[in-house]
Amino acid sequence: MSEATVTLISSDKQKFQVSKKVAEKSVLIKNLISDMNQDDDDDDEEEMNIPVPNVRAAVLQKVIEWAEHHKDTNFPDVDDEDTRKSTPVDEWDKKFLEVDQEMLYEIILAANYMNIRPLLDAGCKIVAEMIRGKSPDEIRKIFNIDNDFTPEEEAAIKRENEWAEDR
Amino acid sequence: MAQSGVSIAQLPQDVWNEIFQFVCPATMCCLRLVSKEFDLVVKTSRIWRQWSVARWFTIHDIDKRALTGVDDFFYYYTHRRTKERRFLSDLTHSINNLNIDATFDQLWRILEDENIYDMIPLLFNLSRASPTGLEGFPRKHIILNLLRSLRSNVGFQFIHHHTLQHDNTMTIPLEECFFKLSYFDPCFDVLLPYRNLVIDEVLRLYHDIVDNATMPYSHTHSVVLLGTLLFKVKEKNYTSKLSANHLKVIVQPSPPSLEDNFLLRVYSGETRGSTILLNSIVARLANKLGIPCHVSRTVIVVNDSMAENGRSMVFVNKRNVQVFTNAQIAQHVRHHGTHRTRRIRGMRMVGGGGASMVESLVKEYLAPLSVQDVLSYVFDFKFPSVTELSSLANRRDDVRVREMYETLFPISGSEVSRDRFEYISAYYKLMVVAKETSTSTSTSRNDPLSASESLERVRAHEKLVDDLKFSYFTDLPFIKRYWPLEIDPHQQEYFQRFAEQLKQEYCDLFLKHFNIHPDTGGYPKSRRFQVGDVVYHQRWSTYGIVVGWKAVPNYSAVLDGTGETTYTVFYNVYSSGGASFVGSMGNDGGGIGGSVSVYAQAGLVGRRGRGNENDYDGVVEGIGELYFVGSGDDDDEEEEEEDGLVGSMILPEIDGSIIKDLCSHESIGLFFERYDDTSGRFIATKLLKKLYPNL
Repeated sequence: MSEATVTLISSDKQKFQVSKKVAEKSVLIKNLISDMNQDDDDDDEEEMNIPVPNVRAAVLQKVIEWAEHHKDTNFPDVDDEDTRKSTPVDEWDKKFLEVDQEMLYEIILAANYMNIRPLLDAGCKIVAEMIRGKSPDEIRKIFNIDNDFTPEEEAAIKRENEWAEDR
Repeated sequence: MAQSGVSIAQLPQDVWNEIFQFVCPATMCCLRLVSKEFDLVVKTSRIWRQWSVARWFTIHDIDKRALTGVDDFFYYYTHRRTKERRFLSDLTHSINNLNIDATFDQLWRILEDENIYDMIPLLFNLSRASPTGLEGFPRKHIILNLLRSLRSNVGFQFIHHHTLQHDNTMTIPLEECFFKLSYFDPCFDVLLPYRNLVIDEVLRLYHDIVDNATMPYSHTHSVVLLGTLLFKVKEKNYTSKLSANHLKVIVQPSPPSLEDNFLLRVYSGETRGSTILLNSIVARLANKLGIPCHVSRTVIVVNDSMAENGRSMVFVNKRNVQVFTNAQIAQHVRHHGTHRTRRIRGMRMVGGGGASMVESLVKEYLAPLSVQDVLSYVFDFKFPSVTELSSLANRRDDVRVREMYETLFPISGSEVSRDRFEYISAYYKLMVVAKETSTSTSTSRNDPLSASESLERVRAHEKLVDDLKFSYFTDLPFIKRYWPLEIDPHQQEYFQRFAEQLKQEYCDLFLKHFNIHPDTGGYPKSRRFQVGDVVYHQRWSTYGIVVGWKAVPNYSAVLDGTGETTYTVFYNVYSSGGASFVGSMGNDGGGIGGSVSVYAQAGLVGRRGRGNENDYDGVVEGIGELYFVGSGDDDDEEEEEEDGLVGSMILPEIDGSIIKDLCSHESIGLFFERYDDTSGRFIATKLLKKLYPNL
């Protein structure tokens, strides 16, 4: 049983064979597997094919790489918000997420979709760090977006923001 | 999905919400300015709800607005923070104001504002903020007092409402009623969490037992079990805060104390609680479980179909829970009458009355208590008499008293002030009189005070000015709000005069209260310490800060005819307590009195501040024989009879924890602005500098 594997199929129909333990880092897949096992009780090791339709191969590859690495990691409980918030991003994760913005975007989306809380948190923390302490202008540059406010609108928001100034 | 040029900015809202978990509100404000889309994402985020809950709603906050729109919480949060910011800047302005009169007026104005309640969570958080840091003492002092005044206002409001209202139909659980009164407790905020903690724990234990029981529990058994569990839980909470050393002391039964009627003290385990109060808690727990019962004067009457007459009587007292039968109650009533028969007619039912008489007495004995009953119980007559209490209060003179308070109140760190309690009682009685005057059914109560008498009593309350001035002067705007106009149409005038008086005497009273004598200019050579110095008292092994000094001519030297007058110098020392000792053991925990003692120089060692001509490094030389010269108020003074401390003593190391401990004293803000690390001294407030201009 310990060697049980499942096959994940990406949106572009690529197949990835991974151990069940690694695949179950995704709560979505874990639930799918337990549902399937309930349907047919005879455990005849039939091949399990699980489509992951929202994630393309390159991204799924990365996600599996992450899951393999963290196969034996014990993450804090999902409900333990304080610990989740206070723990800094793991060094390996930091390196792992040093990718272009598009890939980071897709990994976060995949983690969200596949319900992989520790990966999602790591991604979100990286993004939070990108914007922390930055001016609106700097943030616009990072995300490559244009300022679409009129000066009046900007002034109005600044007025509303006054309370946050002296911190 | 994989089109090129996607950016993080396009993440869906729910993912952004995840990201917002890791940013601060200020960053959110910044994000709003990035683009219209970001502005929308930020405003409609559910993070604002989370932040609002964390910042305000988890604290005993009274704001219960219904917020349903997608960006309601954003606007709620923004507006409330904006208001808090304005309030804080007003407050800072008042505190930094050079003019004490103006500060007084400003604080008064702040408290007269109806919206002040929104500031409770802010004040609460500020009062908790890192044990003062090492700065901003006056700010903390005022914040703490504002918070307490706001809290006790709830108590005043409660008394006002329930005494003056004309129909007694509105009922609230008695436990709730005691809870409202505990808003007067100076340590309300410290003790508040214990209420839910204890209730939850008792119910959890109860379910553990009852759900696994083989036999069903009758209502009576359930109530007895609840009572037993209550003792178990509250004592566990308490003893976990005690060291082994404390435990030895605590075994002795404590005398009845004021705190016995303060609900949160009972939950925290600091006091045993009066019977009524314990009954009210147990009844509340039972009601939560759907067990029908009510609290009468001495017992809980439980509706129990298994019991005789369908009811049983549970008596909770000290550490015991007992059950009485109808026959026992009837016998008790026959012998002792009810409190009412005794009180009103002074009669005693020797030999017992007729059966119907007994029946009606039993009925009265078991009648549910009303809120008014509770109020009169607490404030009127059943209370441990003042003489009993004064025996407790007298022990204050002893320095060891600090240990005692620590032992009695390891959680809150201080007691409820007797003076303040009497003041609140007087206010309550005034309300009772006001009601009776307005209903003009002048049936005699047990304590018939005429309106004017009662009024005078409140006004002339001896310690009121003292008490209010330093910790609770901010009560006044509230008391004013609830003042019974029925019997005192000149209320405005009175309060104005009172406020004026307070303002004018501010400085004088400060002196009198702490027995501090202003600097008259003389500089006896033998004076070793300056205001703000940290000193160590040899005999009591305590640290303190010098807040004042006085030089007394040494008459023996004069008589010796040696010619030169020598001086003995006494210091007013604001002393430190143990590590867990947060409050001063003053009159009311916020309190002030008592925490400043007068010591002779001989007993003190200290390190010298800079800028003094006498070179001194941690060594005290012997000083001639000392004589204590009294000066009227001798409560705070203490005689040093030791012979000169010949030889040299090295000051024990003053480390950060000692300074931190001194800094955590509640009323330190009256004396000092902050601690200056480089000179190792405390910097005096403007108020203190008025007295010692040469600092």
